[in-house]
Amino acid sequence: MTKQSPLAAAVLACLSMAGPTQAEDLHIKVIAATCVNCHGQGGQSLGAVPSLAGQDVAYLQTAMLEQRSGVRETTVMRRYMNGYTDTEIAKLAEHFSRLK
Amino acid sequence: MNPNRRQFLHASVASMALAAASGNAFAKSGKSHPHVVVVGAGWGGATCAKYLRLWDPGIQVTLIEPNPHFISCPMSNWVVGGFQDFDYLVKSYDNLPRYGIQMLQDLVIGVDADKQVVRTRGGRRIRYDRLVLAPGMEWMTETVEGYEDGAKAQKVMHAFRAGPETLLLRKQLEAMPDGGVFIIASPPRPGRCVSGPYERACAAAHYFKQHKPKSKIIMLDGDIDIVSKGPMFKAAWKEFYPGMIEHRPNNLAMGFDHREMVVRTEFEDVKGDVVNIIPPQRAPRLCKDVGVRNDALDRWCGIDFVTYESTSVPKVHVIGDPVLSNMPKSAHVSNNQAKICAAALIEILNDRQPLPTPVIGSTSYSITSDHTSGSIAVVMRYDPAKKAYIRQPEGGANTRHSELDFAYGRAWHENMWADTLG
Ligand SMILES: Cc1cc2nc3c(=O)[nH]c(=O)nc-3n(C[C@H](O)[C@H](O)[C@H](O)COP(=O)(O)OP(=O)(O)OC[C@H]3O[C@@H](n4cnc5c(N)ncnc54)[C@H](O)[C@@H]3O)c2cc1C
Ligand code: HEC
Repeated sequence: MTKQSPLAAAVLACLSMAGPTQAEDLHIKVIAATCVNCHGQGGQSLGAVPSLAGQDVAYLQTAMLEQRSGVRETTVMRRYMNGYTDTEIAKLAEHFSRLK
Repeated sequence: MNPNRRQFLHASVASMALAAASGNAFAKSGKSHPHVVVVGAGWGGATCAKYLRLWDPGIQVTLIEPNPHFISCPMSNWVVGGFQDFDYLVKSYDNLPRYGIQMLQDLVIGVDADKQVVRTRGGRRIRYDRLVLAPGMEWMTETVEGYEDGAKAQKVMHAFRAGPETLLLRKQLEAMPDGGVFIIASPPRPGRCVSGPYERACAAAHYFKQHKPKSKIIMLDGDIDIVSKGPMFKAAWKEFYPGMIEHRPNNLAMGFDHREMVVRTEFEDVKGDVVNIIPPQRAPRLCKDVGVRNDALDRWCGIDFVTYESTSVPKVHVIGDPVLSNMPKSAHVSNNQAKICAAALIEILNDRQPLPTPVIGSTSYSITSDHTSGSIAVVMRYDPAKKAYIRQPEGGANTRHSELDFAYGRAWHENMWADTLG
């Protein structure tokens, strides 16, 4: 990177102290980006895989938990959901429910 | 004005426009826009460029690719089987500049890593703050004696980079008489899309069953068995193509005589009417020249799994097929690595710490006919203590193909295209 003024450096120093919430948000944002390969850009699917955008948050969370436990029959989602924690699943449900 | 000069001016104007458009970010941080150069607009490179701009418009991104269009390897076996026209695989790059990505149609021929400069065939020298190499694969054709002569004579092809070879293979299958022998010779792991050869056998068998039912497919497999979706493929072959596909594991192709159309392995000589040999692969020459192809076998690029930065050359990141890892080499994984790398680059370029524990998903769908597929799915989580991506429980392949997987696989493809290029 190029040279910085002392002020800019000070501002940057503050920015670099990303709090735990910010880090967690980023963690979820990146995971969510790996879901859209199948579920479509912005959670809007162009084919048979269901769209996630704007669905009810509780519905999404329950669906994911039931897919993980096998209560819901799935093709790929049981294998997928076993890779994520309960907290991640709750946050992913929030993330996709907020998209339009 | 020569075309290169004109393109360069065009790029400079675009870059000025970009700087003006994202003036806000500039004012906020009080520094100039860091510049990321991405080499190769395949599944990895195009995705990385797009997500860098989506997630941080303050970063200037240049994406360099010699081909005017994107051609998909996934689904290319549909063309081999005759279920789709070749045009189906070809997509435009036109949407990418809308994200503020500067696209340059050029080939990178070298990198001066100490000066942080990329050199192109078109005579450009482009400075970067960070470089992302996503150039895909190189084929070790020299390891199969006679392959290169055979390829020149158009008697053999790998068709593992979608393009003219995909069409050549299709044409030869169409011209093959009923009762002919189609040989598919594949290398041992690791390599691009390890399930691709078996999917290809299904696509060809589906075509033969309808048009040339007396034909045979012989698979000369350099690996010990079908290592990806094995039970699924074997069940599908038995159900749909009994007696048509003969799988011979531990039988690596070592030579090819195109006059006799004979493939030589360690154990036997096998004569075919159509011969498809997929040689082993490695990270392309460019990676070696830059110094990032750094493993003991001189094949793959060692990286830091959090940032995808090379373990040997600072500020150079590598994503996709050339990476040394236990992750499958697939479009799905290249696309996901691109997002993890983009997120890490944004943190680094804003003087923050990248996320220490990335999580990546891997999937691939393989067709077994024109209406059935099988799938594999696994999540891998990076464990900093073990310095490795650890496969999570329950991941793996299904043992049965289905029509539902076919429908989902098709949707996967549409959504992947949109995510990468849309
Ligand atoms: C038959 C077949 C079926 C497949 N099916 C699937 C599937 O169903 N699902 C799946 O996930 N994967 C599948 N794959 C695997 C997938 O195609 C690859 O793993 C994927 O293409 C790798 O992406 P990449 O971005 O690393 O490389 P690529 O997609 O190969 O992109 C590399 C790009 O870099 C460019 N480039 C190279 N050198 C330079 C240079 N010096 N300067 C500038 N640009 C350069 C190239 O032109 C190319 O556009 C399949 C592969 C095959 C062959
Ligand atoms: C390989 C493709 C693929 C990936 C990647 C994927 N999904 Fe799915 N998803 C599916 C399919 C297919 C279904 C339908 C159920 C099934 O057969 O598995 C589904 C169903 C769902 C459902 C239920 C939707 C409904 O309307 O009932 C939710 C919620 C969901 N996925 C969330 C996610 C999240 C979050 C991620 C990322 C962590 C993700 N999926 C990653 C393919 C995928």
